[in-house]
Amino acid sequence: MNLTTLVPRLYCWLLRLYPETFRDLFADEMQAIFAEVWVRAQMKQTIVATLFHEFTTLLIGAAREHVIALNRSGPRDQARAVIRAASLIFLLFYTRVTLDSSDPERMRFMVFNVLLGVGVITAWHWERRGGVLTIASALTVMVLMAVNESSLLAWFALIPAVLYPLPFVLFGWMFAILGGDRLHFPNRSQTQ
Amino acid sequence: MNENLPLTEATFFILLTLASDGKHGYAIMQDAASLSAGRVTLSTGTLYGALKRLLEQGWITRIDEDEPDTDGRPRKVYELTGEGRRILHAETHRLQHVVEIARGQLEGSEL
Repeated sequence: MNLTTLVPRLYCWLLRLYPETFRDLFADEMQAIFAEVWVRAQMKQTIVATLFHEFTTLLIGAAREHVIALNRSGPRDQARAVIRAASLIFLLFYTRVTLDSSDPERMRFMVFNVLLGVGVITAWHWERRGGVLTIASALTVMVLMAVNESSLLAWFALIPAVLYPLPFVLFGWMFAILGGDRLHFPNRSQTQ
Repeated sequence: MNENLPLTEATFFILLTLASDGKHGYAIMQDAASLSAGRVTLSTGTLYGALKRLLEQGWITRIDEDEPDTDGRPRKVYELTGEGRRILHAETHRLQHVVEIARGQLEGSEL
């Protein structure tokens, strides 16, 4: 596959970053227009400038449409977005800290992060089951960390074992609640 | 004073390209670049973000063309609505007024 065919495919794939409602309306057209822009860029030898312009504005545009969609959505969707973002930020932060650490046991923590990550990623698709899985992963990590402590009698040594996976217990719990129908979110029109 | 004014430069040129007749997305991009002497170069993402907002505001409409494009996809044409035309006139008026004030000030200072 060469650049001529690869770039339109990549653009088409990146259009998935837009919210679904936007994609349904404009994705086909945008793909067709980009194909024309791409042919013209190749003819005029402005490939780098065109690609930079098109791809950066696509990413910015997709983010902007998500923000607009989020502002218009109900409290449940807004809560979902916040929990998803927070869980992802925590996961990336934990991974980054583990990778930067010089701790000889960092591989063990990497395994913990993978366990937590499996739960969170599952919860993005199947909230309730994923939420339960996230809680289970977090509790497993808690137990594994506690068991490894040299002295179980020194209760303060258990504090990291509780604190490290604790945010994920909360995320899992929130995912599980969002996935079920137990929470009543009033309509925005009713509350105003 | 219209609460929708002033328009962004990109929005103004998109509306301006549609003033004479309906156009496809690519034609809008090309016309906006040529009308603005290359100052407004719309990317595909910027154009469709703006078109979406203009559709929601009711300033333009989207019409399916009878003839599909080369890939068999239905082509869409964008047209200015009455409201869109009114906004375009109001913005042109506003810009004209700004230019008149600026000219008056500059001529006064050069005397």
